[in-house]
Amino acid sequence: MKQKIRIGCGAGFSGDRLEPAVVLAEKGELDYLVLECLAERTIGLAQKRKLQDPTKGYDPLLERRIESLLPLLVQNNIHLITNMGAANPVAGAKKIVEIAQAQGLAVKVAAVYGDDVFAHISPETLATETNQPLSNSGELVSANAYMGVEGILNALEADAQIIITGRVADPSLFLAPMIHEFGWQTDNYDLMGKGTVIGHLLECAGHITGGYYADPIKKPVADMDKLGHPFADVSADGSAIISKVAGTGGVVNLQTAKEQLLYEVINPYEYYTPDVIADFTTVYLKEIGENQVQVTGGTGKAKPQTYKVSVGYKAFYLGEGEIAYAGASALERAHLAGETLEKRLSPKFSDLRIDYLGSNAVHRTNFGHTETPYEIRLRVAAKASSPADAALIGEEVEALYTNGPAGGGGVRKYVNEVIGIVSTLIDRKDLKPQISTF
Amino acid sequence: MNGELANIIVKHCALVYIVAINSLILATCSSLYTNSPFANSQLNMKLYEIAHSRAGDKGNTLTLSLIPYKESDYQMLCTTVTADSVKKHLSAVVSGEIIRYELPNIHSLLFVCQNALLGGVTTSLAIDTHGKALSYALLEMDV
Repeated sequence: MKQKIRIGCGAGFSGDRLEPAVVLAEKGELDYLVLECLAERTIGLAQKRKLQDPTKGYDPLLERRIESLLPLLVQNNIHLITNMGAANPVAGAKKIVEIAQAQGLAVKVAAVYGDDVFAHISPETLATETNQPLSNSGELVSANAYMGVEGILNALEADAQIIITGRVADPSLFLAPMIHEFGWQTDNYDLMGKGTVIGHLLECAGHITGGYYADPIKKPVADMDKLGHPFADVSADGSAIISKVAGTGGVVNLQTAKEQLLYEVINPYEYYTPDVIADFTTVYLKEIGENQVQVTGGTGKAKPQTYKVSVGYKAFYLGEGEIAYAGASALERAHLAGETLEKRLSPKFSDLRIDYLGSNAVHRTNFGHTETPYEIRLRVAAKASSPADAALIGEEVEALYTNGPAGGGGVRKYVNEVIGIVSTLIDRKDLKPQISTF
Repeated sequence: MNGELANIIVKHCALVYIVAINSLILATCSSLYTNSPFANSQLNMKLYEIAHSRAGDKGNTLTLSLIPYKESDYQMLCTTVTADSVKKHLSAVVSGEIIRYELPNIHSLLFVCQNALLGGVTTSLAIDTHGKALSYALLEMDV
């Protein structure tokens, strides 16, 4: 059993930058690289791609990420754990094998799945948020349970170097190698809690290295154009030191670590994952050097008896249109445009939103800042039941060019299908994580 | 509207205060202080000056951390930035309950705000569906 391992996180969402992971694989002296690429809604869209083509449904950036990383992972003997499998981990694993063969590399790849419980979910099941049957939300398109460490542990025991999963709770991607390397018992909830804290600190990648933290006035961060992503030196006692590769941009300090520890936490006493209910209130953070934060503490109690399932449904088509006004009476002209559009669109669209960007749109208020903006961007958004109806929003905004107030410019219009998400729970015995190796 | 008006008046006071210091005629403004935070010899300032925040989302729930730059300011934040005062400040944003968690080990507060994202991340019509930018709405609060 090892006493210390180094785990890096090279992506915090599907669209994250590609090169920080390459820097970690090349210079990070890692044992494990994790790429967290699966947001709540992403899997519904991936399910659509899989239905159109059974060899697809994994992350759209998989090929690009793997092509650049694989030679470095092999050369430096780094294990990769990623949820880029999305709706189709097996197809993703096969694609990775194909890339490896083309590069003349031999690696063992494992797909971890079993999270897709669409076939087992009754439309009559009640949604957690609404207490109404799932089918009331709309046509269901996907149902994926958040799995824990189990499948990844099986893949590690099968000696796979590249592990590609479907839906797995984000911290579990990091906790699994700790359990595997340190021989932790999965019912040692104190250690499960500690490992989950470390995973949570790493899972958003750049979030803890100064990304989405920087403020040039109060929180300056150097070299954000080459932001380094984090790694943790994890000890067998469940403590860790978070840092980043020397020479990369960004910063790891007490403030970045605190912001990330509390990120998306609904109850810091009870942070639910499939592996543990972790207590974040017992965590201590300490800056022990430049770009080095020590994490100690963190506890946990027995894991929940149910898995959380994210259910995707066809919600609506979102129609949007935007137009800009600048100079004298910009706000007044934008208001005239907004009032005109409301008169024309509200009879057809019950759910219509008009925003004045530059005034009070982003915070939905301006806290009394009544200064007149030099320029303003009008945005109209509405829910529609078809793409053609949704397109009417942008068309009406564009028609302001010849029918609306003076001096409007820069029209943009968008139509997007929206997959909504509701949750439900399934019993632990109804889900069996599986692996296939290639 | 009253809130906005009050805000403008407070801002106006601050402006007068600065002018007053500059021209060393503090006495002329003394009556303005009595109903303002200056009365307690405290500086009227935004949370932005002393703390930072990151917003997060789960469904229709918004989470806002509040982290003082100086850990010694933590107790003061505990006293002044309550669930009630945040609820009042964010009345245009949060329609549900706000729960405040205290994390003394890391000298930070966490506000969990229900019914804050116009129906939730996936189906909201707002420009910022996640409410990611709302961390800076909290930091607009006067203390």
